[in-house]
Amino acid sequence: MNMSTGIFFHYQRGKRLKDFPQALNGILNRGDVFFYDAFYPSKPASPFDLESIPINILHEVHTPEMVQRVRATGDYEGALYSAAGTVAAAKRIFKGEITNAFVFTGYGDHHAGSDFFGGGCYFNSVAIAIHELQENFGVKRFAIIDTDAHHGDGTWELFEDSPGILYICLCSGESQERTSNVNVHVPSRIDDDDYLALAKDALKKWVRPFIPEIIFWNWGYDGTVGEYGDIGLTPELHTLLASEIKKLAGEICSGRLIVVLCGGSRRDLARLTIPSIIATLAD
Amino acid sequence: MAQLGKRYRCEACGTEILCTKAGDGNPVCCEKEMQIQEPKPLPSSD
Repeated sequence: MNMSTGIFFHYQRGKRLKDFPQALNGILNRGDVFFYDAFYPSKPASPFDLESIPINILHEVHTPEMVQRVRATGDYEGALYSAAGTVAAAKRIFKGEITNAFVFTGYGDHHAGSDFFGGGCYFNSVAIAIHELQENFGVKRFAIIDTDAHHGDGTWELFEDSPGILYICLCSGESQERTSNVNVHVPSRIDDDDYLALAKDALKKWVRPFIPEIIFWNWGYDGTVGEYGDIGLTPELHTLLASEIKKLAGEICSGRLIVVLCGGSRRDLARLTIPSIIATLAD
Repeated sequence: MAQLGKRYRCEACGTEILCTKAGDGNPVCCEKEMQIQEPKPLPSSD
């Protein structure tokens, strides 16, 4: 399969992603990798500028009152461009411009519900992208795999009664299933082999038979040793996960896969894990 | 020296390029050095 990868990036004031885009050395110069970034108030827009999201699109997922509350935090623009990457990636995949994507975010996704947010998340970019794909591209079946160390309460709430959207969350919460939302319990301490076995089992049991048209991966590295959600994982585990999920996407949905950066705070781990995942997507 | 991942623009003709591999030189267009484009960093959770 002829693959091409999009990287969606916006410049941030925080330290976590300070090494980017420079840490993408050896990746950006590949002919099958496209870089979309933001934002440049002082230059004319180019086709490779990461475009923002109109407010009426935000309102399709989040209440106007919640959007107002996000505005009041002073972080609105950062939240908007964090969500914009996933939406732009989804559209470009279904326009046939790219096959898969990695989205850098400054604020995560999965703690943002229809009328609540928290835990470093403001807008649920995956939910907004799904709405856009349903409305404009006629896409009907979606899978979301969440390997951030924490439970995605926002994504769970948004898709609690959506049979066309499979949400698989691997976290410390109890195992449960509701419509097409599945929580897979992960022990508080686990090694790479056991975690990978859990993830592969979830992919085989739920994602493969669901036959989605695209897979979103809410990826966090907060479960890595030394992180705030440390459950004992090594940095290498994330690349192995990327290989498994990419392989499955290739088998069931023409390779369509979007990796959305979620939890994780350490700059050194970001530099270690992200380029490796993007290289896996592009290989 | 051009910087990896940075955008450069020709003020004369408007051509814009992305540096995908850094080297010692600076990109030139219309016989002038292209200007690096400064992005605006946004707030983030960290």
